[in-house]
Amino acid sequence: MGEIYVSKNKIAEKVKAVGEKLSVVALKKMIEKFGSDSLLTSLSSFPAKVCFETQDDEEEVVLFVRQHPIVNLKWILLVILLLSLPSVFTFFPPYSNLPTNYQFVMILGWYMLVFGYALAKFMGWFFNIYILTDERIVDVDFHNIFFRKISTAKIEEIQDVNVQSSGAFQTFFGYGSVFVQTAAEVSQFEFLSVPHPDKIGKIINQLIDAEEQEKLEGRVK
Amino acid sequence: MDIVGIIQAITFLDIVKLLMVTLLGVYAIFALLMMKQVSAMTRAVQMSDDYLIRILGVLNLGFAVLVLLLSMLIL
Repeated sequence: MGEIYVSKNKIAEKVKAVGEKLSVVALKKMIEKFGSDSLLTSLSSFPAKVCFETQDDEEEVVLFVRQHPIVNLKWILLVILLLSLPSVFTFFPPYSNLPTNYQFVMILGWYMLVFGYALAKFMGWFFNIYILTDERIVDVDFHNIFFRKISTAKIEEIQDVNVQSSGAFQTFFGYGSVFVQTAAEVSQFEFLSVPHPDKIGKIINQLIDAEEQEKLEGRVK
Repeated sequence: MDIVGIIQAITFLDIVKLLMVTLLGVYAIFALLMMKQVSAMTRAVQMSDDYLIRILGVLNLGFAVLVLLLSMLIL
């Protein structure tokens, strides 16, 4: 009797596992593969080599999103300006009166500071990531070198999705923001300045539908 | 030598040297923190070829330490 009971459990587990795999297959059919898997990609569906610390074994990354690369334009221009500044240093008497070895270290230090600033800004863009899996939404915030926050919410906790694209710049370059209201501890997830916000909004809605379908079929984890 | 004598012996270049070495020292600590943060972030989210960004962090720290040592040697 005991064996029968165990085997029934095993069958149930197998059915559940097959069901879960089927849901990923269904998602892959529903959501087309787009974007590249390169290191600097800002939008990619089903990325091959992306995983995160708290990811479950069965969990599949559906969408990987970063801010549109155009948001980096401001600091890149500033860095170019700062790199050209040492040529102006010689016009300032305190600098021009310094011995050559002092001037050399000062120039080297200046380039180092500019490199550090550029690296910090680049990292701010690179590590500010939004991940959508078949189970949840993950927001990795990296505002500056001393602040990082990782928030998650289950797909079933999503209540509302708003897409916003405003201004000539955003319209021209095709980016905008997606606001996701949830019933989780973090009440709002903000995907700011992301490429193709409509596409992202649509995919979130498709994930919600798929999750509801799973619930109806009793395949919810 | 009394305190007044020491203060009088301090030149403009000494002050510049002290300021530069302090600034470069602070920057080296900042670069170390930056490298640690990069390492933590690449552990939290793993991507293809993310070793490249770790190399950038190490290069920044190496550059910072090199400039600090150079400033202490040649100034």
